[in-house]
Amino acid sequence: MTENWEDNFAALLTWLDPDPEKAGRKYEEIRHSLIKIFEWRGAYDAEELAAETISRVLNKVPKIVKNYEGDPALYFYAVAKRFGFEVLRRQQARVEGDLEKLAAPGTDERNDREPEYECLDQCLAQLPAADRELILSYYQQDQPNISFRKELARIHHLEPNALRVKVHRIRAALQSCVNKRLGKPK
Amino acid sequence: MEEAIFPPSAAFMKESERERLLIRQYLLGELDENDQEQLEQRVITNPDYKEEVLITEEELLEEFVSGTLSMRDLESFNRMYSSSPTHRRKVKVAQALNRYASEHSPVVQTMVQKGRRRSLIGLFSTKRRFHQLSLAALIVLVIGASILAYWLISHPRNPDYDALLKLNQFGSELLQPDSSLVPVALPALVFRGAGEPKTITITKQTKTVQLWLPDPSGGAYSFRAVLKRNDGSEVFTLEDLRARQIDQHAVLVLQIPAEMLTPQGYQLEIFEKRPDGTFDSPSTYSLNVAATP
Repeated sequence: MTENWEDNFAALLTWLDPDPEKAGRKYEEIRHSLIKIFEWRGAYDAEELAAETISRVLNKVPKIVKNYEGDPALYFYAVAKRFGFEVLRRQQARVEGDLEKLAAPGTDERNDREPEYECLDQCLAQLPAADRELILSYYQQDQPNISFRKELARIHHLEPNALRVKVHRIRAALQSCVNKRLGKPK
Repeated sequence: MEEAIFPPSAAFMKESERERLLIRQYLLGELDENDQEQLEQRVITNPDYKEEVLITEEELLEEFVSGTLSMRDLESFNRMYSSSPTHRRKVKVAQALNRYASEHSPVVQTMVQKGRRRSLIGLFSTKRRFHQLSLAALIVLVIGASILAYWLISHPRNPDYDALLKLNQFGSELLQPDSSLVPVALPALVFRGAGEPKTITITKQTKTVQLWLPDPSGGAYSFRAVLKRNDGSEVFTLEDLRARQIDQHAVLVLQIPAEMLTPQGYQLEIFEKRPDGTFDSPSTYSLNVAATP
């Protein structure tokens, strides 16, 4: 890393927030949002596209910080749109004929031998017992059932939406653990 | 039956429902470029909104896995979620979670052997899982109550053991140092073999002995603790113990009422619980309790 890069990165963090701790959190939020947006748009390598977007913003930081008004996150988005979405369109055109059909729901009886299942088993074992029980109860039905989940929320002394958020956070940790164990998807 | 092409009238929908529908359309690739950009700008500037999109995505995955997506949504879902390896990974994890949960659900699992559920037609013939769950829970309760009643009759209550359970249950208070507490630091839990005995000196003021055992797994596992006298007789067994996070370190803390200890030698065994429910070979600690007036 060059001195110039380090200076620009320091300037970027100050631009995001004068408090270094808040700036670090905001940087991570923006990076995560960019990855998700690229993923939702079907990117093959969302993390690389997000890194390239950030790198382009970094190069411009010395010029823009003085005059830019508004939320800096929107500047990142504008750069992602100009550069990343174009890359995506080219990628999608290239792979259009190469789509792998998703396995139909409920037909794949081999799943329990698949690596995702094995990793999930290991990742669930790392969760606190209460979280593990909650997520298994939440997903134990073949079909999402509103009344069952309302009852589950009542048992856990939570509003239904708070239960939804809690389960999401546990599930996000699980997905991240599975991804780490399996490495990048091929 | 296929869903209507147009979303339900906005006038009859709550704001939150409208938001979810919009997010769903975004995830299924059904928004025009302008609406997509507006939604993405909210994602990047508002972490709560991003979380809502992530939750809606999980719900969509869940509907796909459970086969409850409409034909039209299924078509869009297939187009969007087969387009990248990351999306395909999300689908596979959702499928794995769905299968795992139906095979290992906390209550149903205790009643129904894996793979035999569907054959118990008389007992679990209803298609509504909530009813199945209630029935299973009721049976578990009846069996549990019978076992408890038998246990209570055959084991007279021991007030020291009750205090021990209270001191070590999940979320119990970590006692702070004072003249009634004797804290003892022991080697980390990877330690094997009894090693040199650690002497614990208790006085008349001592009410609790607090054993600190650093947990190198970072709190990932639960433990069983067994304390035995050197003659082999058991003082207590504690199940499902978890390390506490103390100053960014995971530490298993055992809080033992001093009345359970008399001046003699003890062996403390800590067993790590494996994911399949069996136990690893124990970390063993030699303790020597001494008393001073």
